[in-house]
Amino acid sequence: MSNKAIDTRIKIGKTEFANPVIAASGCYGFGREFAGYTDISRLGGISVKGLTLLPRDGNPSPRIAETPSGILNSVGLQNPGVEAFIRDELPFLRKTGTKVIANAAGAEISEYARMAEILDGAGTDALELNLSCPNVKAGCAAFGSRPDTLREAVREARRHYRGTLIVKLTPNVTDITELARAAEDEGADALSLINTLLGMAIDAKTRRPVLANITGGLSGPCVKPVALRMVWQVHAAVRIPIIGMGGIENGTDAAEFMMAGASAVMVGSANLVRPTAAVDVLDGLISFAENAGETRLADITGTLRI
Amino acid sequence: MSAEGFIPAKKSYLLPVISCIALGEGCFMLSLDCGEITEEICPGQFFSLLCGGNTYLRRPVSVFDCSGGVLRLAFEVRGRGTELLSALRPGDTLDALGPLGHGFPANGVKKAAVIGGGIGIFPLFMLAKALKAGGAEVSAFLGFRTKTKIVCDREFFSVCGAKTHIATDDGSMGFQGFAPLQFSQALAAGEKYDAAYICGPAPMMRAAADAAAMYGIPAYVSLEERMGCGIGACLVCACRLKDKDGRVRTGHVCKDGPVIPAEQWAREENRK
Repeated sequence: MSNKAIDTRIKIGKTEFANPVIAASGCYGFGREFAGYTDISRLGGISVKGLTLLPRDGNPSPRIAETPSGILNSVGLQNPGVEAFIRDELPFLRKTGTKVIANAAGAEISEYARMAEILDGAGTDALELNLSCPNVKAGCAAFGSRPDTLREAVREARRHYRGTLIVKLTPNVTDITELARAAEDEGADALSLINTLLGMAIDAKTRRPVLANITGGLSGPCVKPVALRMVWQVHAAVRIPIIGMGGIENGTDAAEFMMAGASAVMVGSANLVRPTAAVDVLDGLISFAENAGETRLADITGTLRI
Repeated sequence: MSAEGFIPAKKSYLLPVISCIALGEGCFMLSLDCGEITEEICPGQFFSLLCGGNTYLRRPVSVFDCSGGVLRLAFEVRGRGTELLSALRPGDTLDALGPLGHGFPANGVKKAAVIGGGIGIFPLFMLAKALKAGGAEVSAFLGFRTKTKIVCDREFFSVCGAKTHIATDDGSMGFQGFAPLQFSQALAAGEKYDAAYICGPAPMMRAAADAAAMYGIPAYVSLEERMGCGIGACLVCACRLKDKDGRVRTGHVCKDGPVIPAEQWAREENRK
């Protein structure tokens, strides 16, 4: 440990985070389950399980398949609905002191507007617009893969939400910078990427797909190269801060995303394997920075040498 | 590690491997030194294990027994993860998250039936021991495909004695037919139980649960689904549960189960 503690603070939009490590949506529930294993108040933030206007049951099981260095999931946005979240889960999260990011998804553009309205002033620290979940039939990834629908969704959310607005991008597009610029244009305060890649697994013995939903979202270390590339490309295309994610397992991975242009990172799949993963990434990132002689974590952003 | 000295209520453990014994038919019994685990381990619970190699997710494995500082986990080799587990040797360490899930409720039961199919018998052993230790009379109905697939019968005999009933689908040993059928016949012959504990393939559990329901016996089943975190956060191990009014909701095997009252078990509508 150096004599002077490293400055870990970062600012995204109107929100100051104590540090750049955030638990990724869908992999941390509403924080409760992890609170027994790790000090979740040490996280810079928690992006909660994707919320929808009405409660959703999600897809039939099996909802998970292991892939080389990763997983496919087809949960299908099971969640108690935004009202139940505000009533039953948010108070606990606020007590932890970590920043709470509400991840919101909709089946129609009007639902994004309604979600933004409900969450405006509801007590969360930011809103992450989910335009990228590949596991639901309507909306979501469909909106996020086309600039015109993405613009409409972001515009509607921006109209009703005064806080820090983060747009989560899908990688299942030809040119992610196009979507990134569109989101920035419509007033997004920040971008988070990448969400999962659309994939599939087959059981050769039964000749059936492993997932009941047939396809699912790929995440984990296997997607890191794609995620890093996309963060790097988006960083060159926009001026708003980027939250990078995709297979981060340790502090060095997190540092790589920051070098590529991310101001903060999200840790997702790793938490399914080790309940302490997110906080471990934070400790690792701090170690990395100390060893590299950095005094501020924020200084790592965009330092990739080309 | 936290500067403020946060002490986690739960953690994963690095358990020393005492032995890994082949039971035959692709089944293995892992014995681990569990002295470090202070949390009580209940019959029906499981541990989620890191298998190493080129695997990513943990594998959930049922507790077979836990006594005298030794935790025994029994499993069948099904894929790369369990194959790696079967290769563990004395002196190795195993990263184990647990105990996880809800186990079998055994309080106040005086006469119990445990009904197991194939590798479903594994979680029932510690239960049978616990019930006996609590003064209960325990009958075990254990079904296997054929004689060569029988495992752990001696362990059950040591607990249930003459009340251990073996069934094989092809009749090569013991009763010919499914364990639920043998259990059914015992019920028809007038046997009365306070509770029935069922574990095995879904159709087998359904048959045993139906038999118990017909005679008004409280029954418990142990569900299984592909898992992610194992601690109730990621929501992948979804199962359908129904309440007294017949309303169905989506629960999760790791959090609401794996053991649930049989009447709450709703089969997935579009399951193949």
